[in-house]
Amino acid sequence: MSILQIAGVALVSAFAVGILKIYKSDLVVPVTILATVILLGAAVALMVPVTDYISDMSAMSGFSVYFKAIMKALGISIIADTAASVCRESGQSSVASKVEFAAKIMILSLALPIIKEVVSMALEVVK
Amino acid sequence: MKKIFAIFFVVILFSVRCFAAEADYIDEISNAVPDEIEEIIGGDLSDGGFTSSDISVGLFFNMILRALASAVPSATKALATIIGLLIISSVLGALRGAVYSKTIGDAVEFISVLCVCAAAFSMTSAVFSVAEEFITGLGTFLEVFLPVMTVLGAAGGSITFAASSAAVVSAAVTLLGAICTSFAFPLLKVCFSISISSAMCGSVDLGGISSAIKKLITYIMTITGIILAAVMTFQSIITKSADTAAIKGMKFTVGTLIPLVGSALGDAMTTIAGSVGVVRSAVGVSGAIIICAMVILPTANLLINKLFLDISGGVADLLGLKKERAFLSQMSGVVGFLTAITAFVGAFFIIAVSVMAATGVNV
Repeated sequence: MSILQIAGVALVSAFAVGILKIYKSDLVVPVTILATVILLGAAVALMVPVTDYISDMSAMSGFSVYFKAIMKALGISIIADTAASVCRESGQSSVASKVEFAAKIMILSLALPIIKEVVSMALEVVK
Repeated sequence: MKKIFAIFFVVILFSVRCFAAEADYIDEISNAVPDEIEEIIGGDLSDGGFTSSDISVGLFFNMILRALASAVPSATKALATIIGLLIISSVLGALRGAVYSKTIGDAVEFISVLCVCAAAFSMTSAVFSVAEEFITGLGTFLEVFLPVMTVLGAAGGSITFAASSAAVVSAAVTLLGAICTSFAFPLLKVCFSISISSAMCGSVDLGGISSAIKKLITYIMTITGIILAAVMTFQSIITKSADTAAIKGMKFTVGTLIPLVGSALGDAMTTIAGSVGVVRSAVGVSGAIIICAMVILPTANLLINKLFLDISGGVADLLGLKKERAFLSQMSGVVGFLTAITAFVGAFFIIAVSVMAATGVNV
């Protein structure tokens, strides 16, 4: 998708949500989620060449395991942020904060093996 | 007349034997030198050591260039890898800006900093083995070198000086080796590990602990160096005077008590002492140059690593990666400190060996 298509989808969905708020308010959330998923999918598709290049570069450096962790963390953060935004727009701020909390815990769990490796390296150096 | 010719013949024989012994002593020392050090020196040491024509500014420049040439490839690879990691981290940081929630963004930043620091840490932690191998190698070389210099010093008439200087240098080897391997290096490794802890825990600044450790190491090494230098200086002054008085007394006794040829024998003693002094100087200078090469190799390696860590820190600063910049600066500081300790130990023993080579009796 080009930027014009993405902008078009965003504007159409914003207009649709505005109309639906007046006439059919129960369809607002599904339309918002649908538009968000389409736009997020388009952004991820545009990001694929960048992430492939970064993966190739990190594989050459020999530290691909670290960058896989960072990419996973980035993916978790984007998805969680999107879900939290939709929840907030629907008036569910407590649900949104719990989504963010869960995302934070998942990211920290991704960091745990790296922290263990760093601690073992530090202990080996000190020995 | 016949007696004078006989004495003359004996003196010549001694001198020839001394010069032959020089080659034996240098062979013995060169066998204790590691191969990579011989490559740095740029020649085979078994062909008679260094002559006055060999020793020039060019010799030392060539040693430095060879040491740098051996250190640059691996350090450059590490530099390129770290800069690549920083660029990738910066790109991912730009993507991270798309996340609206601050808490999630902080979590992603934490893991990003952790990964870059872990990669850089694993690549540069080998610098400690460079310094430890230097200390071990220096101790091994001096174990062979000191007895040779002691024998030569005693043979040249500086009996007291040779014995006492060998004892002082041996004690210095043991003391500095123990301070480095049991105190300084472990504390610097703790500083190294603290630097990554500071990077991981952004809000906790452990830099104060690192600087306190570095100050403590500085004080201890300075005090140790001052004490050892003072002992060496004072004992060389005192023992040189004592040896000079002893040899002059012996010469006077020989000249007085032995009829007819006593004075000739006394002069022969002067010649022999001078011949042995030449051998001692040559062997001592060779030893000092070998120690110089042993110092140049790890120092060049550590300096190159420090320089490349500073360059990486500059690149991190340019890319706006502040935490990575702070981490790389701390690592650079630790490596710089390690370089200073290595250079200090090496310089001390170069001076000590030079003093042993230069100090002799005035006959």
